[in-house]
Amino acid sequence: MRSTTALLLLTALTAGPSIGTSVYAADHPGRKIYVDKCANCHGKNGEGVRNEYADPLVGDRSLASLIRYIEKQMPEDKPGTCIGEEAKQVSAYIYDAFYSPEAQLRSNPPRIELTRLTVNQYRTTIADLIASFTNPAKPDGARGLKAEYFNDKRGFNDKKREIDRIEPTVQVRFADGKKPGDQFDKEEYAIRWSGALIPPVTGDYDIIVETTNGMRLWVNGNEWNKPLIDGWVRSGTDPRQTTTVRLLAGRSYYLKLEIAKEKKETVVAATLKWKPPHQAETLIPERHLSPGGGSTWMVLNTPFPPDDNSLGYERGASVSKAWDEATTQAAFEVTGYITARLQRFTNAKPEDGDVKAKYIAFCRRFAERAFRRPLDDEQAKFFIENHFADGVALDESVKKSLLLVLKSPRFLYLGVGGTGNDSYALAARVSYALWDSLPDQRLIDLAKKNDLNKREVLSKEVERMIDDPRTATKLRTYFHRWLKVDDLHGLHKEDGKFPGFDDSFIVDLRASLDLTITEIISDPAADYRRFFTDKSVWMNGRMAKFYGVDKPADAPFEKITFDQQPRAGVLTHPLLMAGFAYSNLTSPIHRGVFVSRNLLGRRLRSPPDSITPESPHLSPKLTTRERVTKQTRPVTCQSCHDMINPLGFAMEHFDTVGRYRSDEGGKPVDASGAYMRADAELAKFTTASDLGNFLADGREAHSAFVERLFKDTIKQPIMAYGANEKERLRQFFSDNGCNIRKLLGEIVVSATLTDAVDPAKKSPDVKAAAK
Amino acid sequence: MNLSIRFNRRQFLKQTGISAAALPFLMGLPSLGLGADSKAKGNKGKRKQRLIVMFSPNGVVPKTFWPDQEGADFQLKESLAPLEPFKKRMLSLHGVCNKIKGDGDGHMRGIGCLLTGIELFPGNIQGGSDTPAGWSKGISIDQEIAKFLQADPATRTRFGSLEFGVQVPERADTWTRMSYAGANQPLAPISDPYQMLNKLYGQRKDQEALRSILDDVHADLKKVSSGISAEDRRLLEQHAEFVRGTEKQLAQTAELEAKTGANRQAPTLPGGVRNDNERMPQLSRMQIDLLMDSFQADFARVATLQYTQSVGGAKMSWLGINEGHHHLSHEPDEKQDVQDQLTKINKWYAEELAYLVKRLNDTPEPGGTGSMLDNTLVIWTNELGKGNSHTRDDIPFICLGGGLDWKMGRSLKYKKVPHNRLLMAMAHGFGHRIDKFGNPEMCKDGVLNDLV
Repeated sequence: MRSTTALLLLTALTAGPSIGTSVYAADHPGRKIYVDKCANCHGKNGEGVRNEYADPLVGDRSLASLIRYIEKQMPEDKPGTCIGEEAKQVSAYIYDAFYSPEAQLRSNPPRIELTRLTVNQYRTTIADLIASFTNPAKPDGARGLKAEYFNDKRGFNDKKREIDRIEPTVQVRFADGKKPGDQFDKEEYAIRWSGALIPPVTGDYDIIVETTNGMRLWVNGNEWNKPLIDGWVRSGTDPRQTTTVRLLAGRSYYLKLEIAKEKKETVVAATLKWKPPHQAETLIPERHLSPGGGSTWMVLNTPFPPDDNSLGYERGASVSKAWDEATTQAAFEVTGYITARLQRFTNAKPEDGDVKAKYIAFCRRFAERAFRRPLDDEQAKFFIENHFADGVALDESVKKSLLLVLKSPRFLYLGVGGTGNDSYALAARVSYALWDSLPDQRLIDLAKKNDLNKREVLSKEVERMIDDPRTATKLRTYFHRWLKVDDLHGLHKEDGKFPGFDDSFIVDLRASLDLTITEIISDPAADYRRFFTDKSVWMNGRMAKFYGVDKPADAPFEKITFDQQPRAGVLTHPLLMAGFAYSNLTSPIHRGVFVSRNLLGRRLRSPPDSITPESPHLSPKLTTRERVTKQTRPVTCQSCHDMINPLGFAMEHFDTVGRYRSDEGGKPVDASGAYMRADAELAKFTTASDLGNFLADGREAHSAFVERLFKDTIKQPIMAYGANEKERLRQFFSDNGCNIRKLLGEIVVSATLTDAVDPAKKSPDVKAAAK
Repeated sequence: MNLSIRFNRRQFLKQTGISAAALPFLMGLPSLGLGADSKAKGNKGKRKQRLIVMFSPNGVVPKTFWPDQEGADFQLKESLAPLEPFKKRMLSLHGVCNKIKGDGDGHMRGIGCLLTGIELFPGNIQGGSDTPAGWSKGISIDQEIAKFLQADPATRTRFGSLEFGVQVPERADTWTRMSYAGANQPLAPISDPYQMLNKLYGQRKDQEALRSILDDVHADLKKVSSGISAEDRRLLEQHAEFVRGTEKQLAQTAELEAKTGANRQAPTLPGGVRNDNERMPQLSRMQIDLLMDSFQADFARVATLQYTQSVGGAKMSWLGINEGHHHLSHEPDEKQDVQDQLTKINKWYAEELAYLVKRLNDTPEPGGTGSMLDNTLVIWTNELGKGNSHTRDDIPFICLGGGLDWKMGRSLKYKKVPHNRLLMAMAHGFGHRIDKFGNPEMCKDGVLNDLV
């Protein structure tokens, strides 16, 4: 039964390269060889045999590479006995019957699954849903904060403002009679900084104000709310005031800090710092502050169980009791937030006498925005009007209606309600793909006109949406995952051996990598190749000093080019070099695994045994390269390490803290390596720069990048959109100058339209075929 | 939801035997009234002791306030006249002084050291001509006692303590805060009765709302399921299963609540009473009623009821007084008309106190014998002894009720004893035998004598 559906699917999906058609024939010459020589350990259909070789025989080697591997290593007890024509035939059989990605697709056909909102999507959706009623300010492109100095007694009377300017950060100190200006009273005056805080990642931030004066700080809540830190009463001598606030990445949060000098105080000083999630405490940098554009966002505090991440991207393909309970608790958090501000949300004033009508109108707008589509009359009754029965307090009615909406599958899942592929469904697909959030009003209007299924209309919208900060945030998160930045928490080097390489230095390294990412993706060309070919590194004064570049200690970040070194963009970025390394030695294996998995998209099994790396003290004369080679020599290691090691060796010019070195312990560094391409050609490189060029231009690297971006964006398997979708997108990518923004646009447009009903012509329905 | 609530709930569940499976849901969901807790245990052998500290500002007029006599035979004067019906349950303590020195003006230290018995931190709040100060350096006695009661499962309640306010301004400074959870941790009293009602009963209402929509959630899930593929439908079926689980647990919870009496009806407040000076009399009664309700429900056994703030400037127009209280309190003794007005103001506070005491007296002890007044000590106090001198000598401490085993129905006169000794005596009355509280220098002579 399996094979009929599979074949049907294949004919529906593949127009590209032909996949062996007669591989099922029992008389395939390779089949007999397989049964005789391999099935004992690998199982009749490559499913694996317990206590022999348990893992299923699946992988992503090319056929040529598989032949070579079998000739060299198989069977394990008698390698070298399956060669020549025999090796070719058995490989062809294995490859086509179950090993290759196409074969795997056949035996386990992927489909577009119903998914619920991921935790991140839930949070951003709530923030945007609430914001759709509160009209947040437009983010301000300027950086720094507005700083105002008042010649006023613990007050902020506009008429007494003497200084009004932009300051890059909050860091002031007036002591020993020094004042902000001659005109200021020496006993009492006040300073206010205001604008927005723009956090780079989602999470809990510690906010720290250091001052010995009276102070008040607001973050994500304006003056009508309570200050986040109220130190207007200064008490005791501790100059630090700290609190924690949860923030969503990339949004501009209202920020205001006030301090005031009281008569008897002799020092006026203030510093505004933060500690982002998993990072060290620093002065809040200018690039995360803006003199305007701050708003109040609803940031949910309800904890959710984490999403399934087993396929390398967060997806909402399963539900659990804990998740269901979290959605209940979150629904209460949201309704509580709204009912506490009902007048503001509904515009209903008791004296106008139309409170009920306004509440009902509000609830309907809320439901329509939450469901991403209009309600029909029956739904309006069900979700809203039924709850406004006589005798029920009006705010209780609102609460019940909102709760029902927030507990509804129409809100919690993508693509339910409606026909699943109508115009409104497309609007939601595109907004969740690019923003992980609700469609905006413009998209909804286009959906209403039934225009979004026109490719040119949709493409234009996608282009517009890519410029939104929410897409930038999503892309940044994607690049962090791609480069494994989030796995580098806890990075630490051997104490005393690398002075200067401390937690705040790591913050600099991360900032440097983020600047690289931002520079590349915000450029209209958004050229993927620059990730691997750029010979420069963003450095501030502290980094420059550490890496031996002559710069003032307080120099801001700028690009420094290293022409004389084998640099390869992010591949040799100091954060990654230090991250994929031990506390005192490099680790070609970690580096090689990173390149194999993340950059070339190769699958690797876990090592058969857990092996402790050999201590260099045991063989002090060996270089790292020699030691790793020696330790991974056994045949069981080689099936993976023949790929991993030569990739990892290419970065050996960069030591455990990312410094360039030409020799290791007196021996010149050998950074040569190689990689067996899918076409069985061996790509050779002598330095990281060569490897960088290979990754920049290589078909396999492009393909891997395309698939990763697709999965992360669409949160569905790419194969569910057609067996040749990956190859088509790879070709698109390479035809378009490796432009990441264009690729993202094409991914989103194509996936959004995959089963859209074109009113003009009924196109084949992939989703239907998959069923 | 704070930790103590969660702990409570666990305790409650343990005692009432809810299945472990129900636990996460109940934890995520707000709150059973945990008065049930102590009822389930029956409060065996030990009575429920309670404490209420009521505060009014700006000192008193000594000659219309303090009884002249000492001992059991004493006369109430004009300011305390409303307490006449409860004279036998009353203990007037004269001669107890707040001797805490240091930073801050008289009003700041008056309220900030009143229940903490310890100095204020140096800071930037400048009052009068004294040195500026910050918050208190220590915990207040109400919180110390609440902490003590919360530490024992037999006396633990849902909130431990509740801080009521009447017309306390929306401003956090040394003059507006009396209770402290610890050094530099002032507690804000809740002056809005609606906010207090929500704190006490909002979560129960949430449960009712949830219960009322679950059928609709089911219907909705069923409806959208019909439009999708069989494979995808499985996910929604699983989802529906969880919703059914919630339903079951809610029903179980309701049953339990009914069984344990935790399903109290939330009291209703008159609607739309604006929180302003003119409505202070009505707000005062609403807060007292909520306080009574929360004690009846055993949500807490310690409460403070703070009228305005130290230096409070309430304009009691309903008494025909159109000047602010603080302003009046500065006038010299010679101005008889002002002294009369000040007496009137304190008499008004005494009426509010009498209302509270009467309600306690008229309410039978839930699950026990006698009245709630038999098990409650109410102490009415002030940040000053006398307004125009700013003295913190002879601070009013008017005690009512049988909450602690003190001998009531007396007028006692001490010779300028530090009030720390009284604060310690309050703790001892709850069985919390501390040998110092606040500034240890002030505690050397031990717990205040002659109370029991």
